[in-house]
Amino acid sequence: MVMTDEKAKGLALDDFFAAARNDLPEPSGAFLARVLNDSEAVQAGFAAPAAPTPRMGLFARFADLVGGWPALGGMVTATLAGAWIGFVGVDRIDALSGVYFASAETLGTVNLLPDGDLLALAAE
Amino acid sequence: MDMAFDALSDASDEALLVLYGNGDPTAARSLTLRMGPLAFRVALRMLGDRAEAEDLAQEAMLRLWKIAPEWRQGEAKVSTWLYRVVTNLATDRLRRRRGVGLDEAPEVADGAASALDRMIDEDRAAALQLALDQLPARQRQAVILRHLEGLSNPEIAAAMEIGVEAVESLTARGKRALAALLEGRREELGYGHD
Repeated sequence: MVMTDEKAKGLALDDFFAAARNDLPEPSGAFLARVLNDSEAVQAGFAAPAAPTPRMGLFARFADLVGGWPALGGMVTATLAGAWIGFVGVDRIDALSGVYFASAETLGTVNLLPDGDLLALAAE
Repeated sequence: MDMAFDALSDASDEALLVLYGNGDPTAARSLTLRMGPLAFRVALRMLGDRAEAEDLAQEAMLRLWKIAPEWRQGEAKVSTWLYRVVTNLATDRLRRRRGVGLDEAPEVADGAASALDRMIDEDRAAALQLALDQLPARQRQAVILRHLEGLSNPEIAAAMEIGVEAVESLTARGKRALAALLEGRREELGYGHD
């Protein structure tokens, strides 16, 4: 007998739908791996800067690391000074310091707390 | 492939997509596990070919990854967006495959049910798939989303970018066509005579 009743047809069709819902097709692991690879590749693009920064050389990166060119200049000066002191010996440091400091007679000192005041302050 | 446990299983699809767009690698894995099978399942229902379905689903997922940073929260469900992309891509493929306008496709193809011969009860799902393959793409799309994916008519309307009444019409016509296709095979499929 061929069913012609629409309600009966609907119920039968629902059985097919139910069977299909219970028989969920699963994707292969290879498919999931490809999708995951795509996701990682696209995500890596998000992290990249919009405008590529120019590549810095090793020396420039070192200079940047220690604080820029002024700091690097200070380091060079200190290094050269250390090498020079090591070469000429401690005895001759006066020769260098003489360039910066005048003789004892011209090196002025300022006493901001005259003698006695310090003791007076301490006594209070 | 051995997939790790979905650590963000409690997060919404949208939250995962935002996390992914912000560079969270765990979100990528969770979304793949959650959305990949969905995309594949719908693609397979639409196309009836496993390899082609995986290819299409991968393409749809790639579009999801790319749109993540621009995702506007609260506007659409991620799953609805994905249903739309998968079914539209599938419709395009069907159009190219058949080489005819979808509106011109016959409601029920003659002789297609012969492939259902010797089907038994546990093959009803396969029989339904064979019948689905005979439907015009838009009817197929509506029936799959309504009766196999369990979407509401408004959700289907959003996914298909049509009105709810059009969804109801497509679904009704699709079901009538399916019933007609399967009717002649009831006995072989274990329904016998009532």
